[in-house]
Amino acid sequence: MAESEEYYDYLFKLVLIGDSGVGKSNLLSRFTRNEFLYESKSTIGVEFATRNLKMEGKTVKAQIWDTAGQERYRAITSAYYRGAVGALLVFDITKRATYDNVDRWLKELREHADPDIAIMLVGNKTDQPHLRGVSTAEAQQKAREAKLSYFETSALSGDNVEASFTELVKEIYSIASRAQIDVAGSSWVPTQFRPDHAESVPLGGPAKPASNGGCC
Amino acid sequence: MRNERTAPFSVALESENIDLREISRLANFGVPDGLRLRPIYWKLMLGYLPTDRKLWESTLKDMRDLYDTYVHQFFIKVRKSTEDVCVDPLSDEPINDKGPSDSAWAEYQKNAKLLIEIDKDVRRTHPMVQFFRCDPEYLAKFGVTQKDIGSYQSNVGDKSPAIKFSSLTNNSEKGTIFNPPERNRARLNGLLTDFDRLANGTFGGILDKPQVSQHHAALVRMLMLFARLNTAIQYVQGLNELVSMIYYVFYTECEPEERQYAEADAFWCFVNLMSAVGDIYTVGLDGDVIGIRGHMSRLMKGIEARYPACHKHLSSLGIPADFFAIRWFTLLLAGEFELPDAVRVWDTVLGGRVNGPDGVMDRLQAVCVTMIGFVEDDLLQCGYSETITMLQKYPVVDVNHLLGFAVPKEVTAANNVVSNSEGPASPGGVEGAYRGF
Repeated sequence: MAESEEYYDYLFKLVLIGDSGVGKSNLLSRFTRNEFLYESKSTIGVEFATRNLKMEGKTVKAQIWDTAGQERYRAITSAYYRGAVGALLVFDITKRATYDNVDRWLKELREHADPDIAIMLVGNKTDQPHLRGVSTAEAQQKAREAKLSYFETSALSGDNVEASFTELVKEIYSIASRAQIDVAGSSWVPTQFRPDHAESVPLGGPAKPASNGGCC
Repeated sequence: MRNERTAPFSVALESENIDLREISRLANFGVPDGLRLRPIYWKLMLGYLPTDRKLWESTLKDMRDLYDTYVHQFFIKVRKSTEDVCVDPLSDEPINDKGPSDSAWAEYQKNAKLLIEIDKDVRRTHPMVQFFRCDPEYLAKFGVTQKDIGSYQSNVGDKSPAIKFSSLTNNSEKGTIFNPPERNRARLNGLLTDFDRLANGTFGGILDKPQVSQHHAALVRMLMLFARLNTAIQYVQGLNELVSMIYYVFYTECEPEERQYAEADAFWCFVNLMSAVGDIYTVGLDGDVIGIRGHMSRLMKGIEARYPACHKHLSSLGIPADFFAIRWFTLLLAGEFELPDAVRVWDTVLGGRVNGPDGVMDRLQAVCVTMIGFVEDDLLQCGYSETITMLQKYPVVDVNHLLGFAVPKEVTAANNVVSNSEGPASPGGVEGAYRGF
C-alpha cells in the first residue's frame, strides 16, 4: 500500500459535507477501504483518508476530509475547507430534512471555501427506495439550478460510490490540466490546486511527496 | 501483586472520611478491576458521593428519587404537550380549531426533533461492544421478533454486528407502529399510554423503531433529560459517548441488585462531569481560553514546551490541533482507545478533580500532550497524511505506561505502596516539571 500511495502527480483535497447521519463516513470508507458499517460512530471533528486514482496515465491522490455534520461542529471545522478543490455535498434520499438543508451547506461553502471549488451533490442511501423522500428529478433540478453535478449512491451496496468520487476527481482534473495548458511552460500553479501544506505538488510533472517513508 | 495494589485502595475507600487526594493518587496506577471499586471511585471524584461515608445512603436515596421524579415529570410533560395536539391525519398539520395551542405543538416538535437526534447517535454508540448491542428479549416487549431483527448482512467489507430492521421498514402492517414520525403523529394519542419509563422503546411512537436494548433506552432518557435541563449545551454529538462510559462502568461493575440504580447514578455523575468540562461543548465559548479553541492552542503550547521536535514537525507540515484534537477533547479521549483502556484513562483523568475545578481538564491536557510525546519517534518519520492518520487513529499502546508519563511527578514519588518495577523509571510528570522521556 505504502509504495503506491507515495507517488502521485496531482494532489486534490476534497471535503465531504452534509447533515449528520446521511452516510458521509460510510461513503468515505466504501471508497477508500471498501468497508461499510451499519452503525458507524458519529464523526467528531474531522476524519481523513486518501486514495490514489489514475487519470490519463497520471496518478491523482485524492485526500478526502470527512467532517462532522452536526451544527455545533460547523463553527470549529470550517478551517478544513481551506485548500479544498472539491466537495461532495451529501444528503439522505430517505430524509427530506437533510435535502432541505443543502442550501445551508452551499452557503457554508460559499463562506469558507475557495470560490472555484467543484461541488457534487450526492443523494445517498438508494438501497432504501421504499423510504425515498426526495425524487431523483427534484434533486437533479436543484443541482442544475445551482450548477452542480448530481449522483445517487448507496454506500451500503457500493452502488455509484466509485463513479461519483471518480467523476468529481475527473472534473477537477480537467480544470487542473486546462489550467496547466493555459500557462504551458511557466511554473505558475493556480492557488486552488496548491493545498497549503508540505505535500502540495506543483502541477506539471511527476513529483514525489516531501515525506520519505511512512509510519503505517 | 494484585493484593499489593488493591489492598490500599480498598482500605482507603473503607475509611469513614475518605481522603480524596489519597485515592486519586492510588488511582493513578489504575483502579483495581473486578472488585467493584471503580464506580465508587468515579462517584467520589465526580462529587456525587460525599467523602463522609455515613452520608452515602441518604445521598444516594435522595438523588435516585430525584432522578425518578425528573424522568417522570419530564416524560409526563412531553405527554401532556402531545395530548394537547390534534393532528390532521391528511396534512399532518395541527388542527387549530380543536384547541391545541401553537406552543403545545411547538413543544412537541422540539421534543420530537431532539429525541430523533439523540436516538440516531445512541444507536451508533459503541456498536462493537456487546453490552450496547441488540437485546432480542428487550425487543420482544415491543413485538419485534427475531425474524424482524434479521440476520447480519454479508456485504463485502461489512464488519457490523449491529442489527438492521429490514423487515420492519418493509412490512406495512408493522409499519403502523414503526412508521416514521411524520406519518405517525395522528396515531400519537393512541400510543400515549406507552409513553412512560416502563414501555418506552419508541418513546410514544415518536421514534420509527424501538431502541435495541434497555441500555440504549437508558442513554436516550439521560440525554433527553440533560438536554432539557441544560439549555446552554442541550445535546451535542459526543455527549452520548461520555454518558455511555459512565453508565457502562456503573452497570457492569456493581452488585447485580445495584444495577437498577446505574442509570440515576450515571445521570448525576454525568451532570457533574459536564460542570467540570462543559465549556468545551459551548459554542459561545469556542474562542475563549476555556472553550475548545483555547484548549487546542493550549495543547500546542504544551507540545511545544515538552516535545519541541514534535511541535516543529506538526508546524512544518501545517497540521494544527484542529486536525486531530477536537475529538480528543470532546470525548475526553474515550474515542481514542478501546473501551477498557478508555476506562483506565478516565481513572487518571477524573482523579484530576482533587486539584480543583479545572483539575479534570488539566489532567486531560497532560495526557494529550503525553500522547504526542509517546509516539514521537514514529511521528517524526511520518509525512503529512501519515501524521494525521496516526493521530486520528492513535496506535494501540500500553495505556498504563502512557499514563505513567502523564501523571504528576509528586504522585508517583510519594507513592510508598506500589512497587515501581512496572512503572517508568523517570516519568517526569507533565503536570509538574516535565523532563520528557
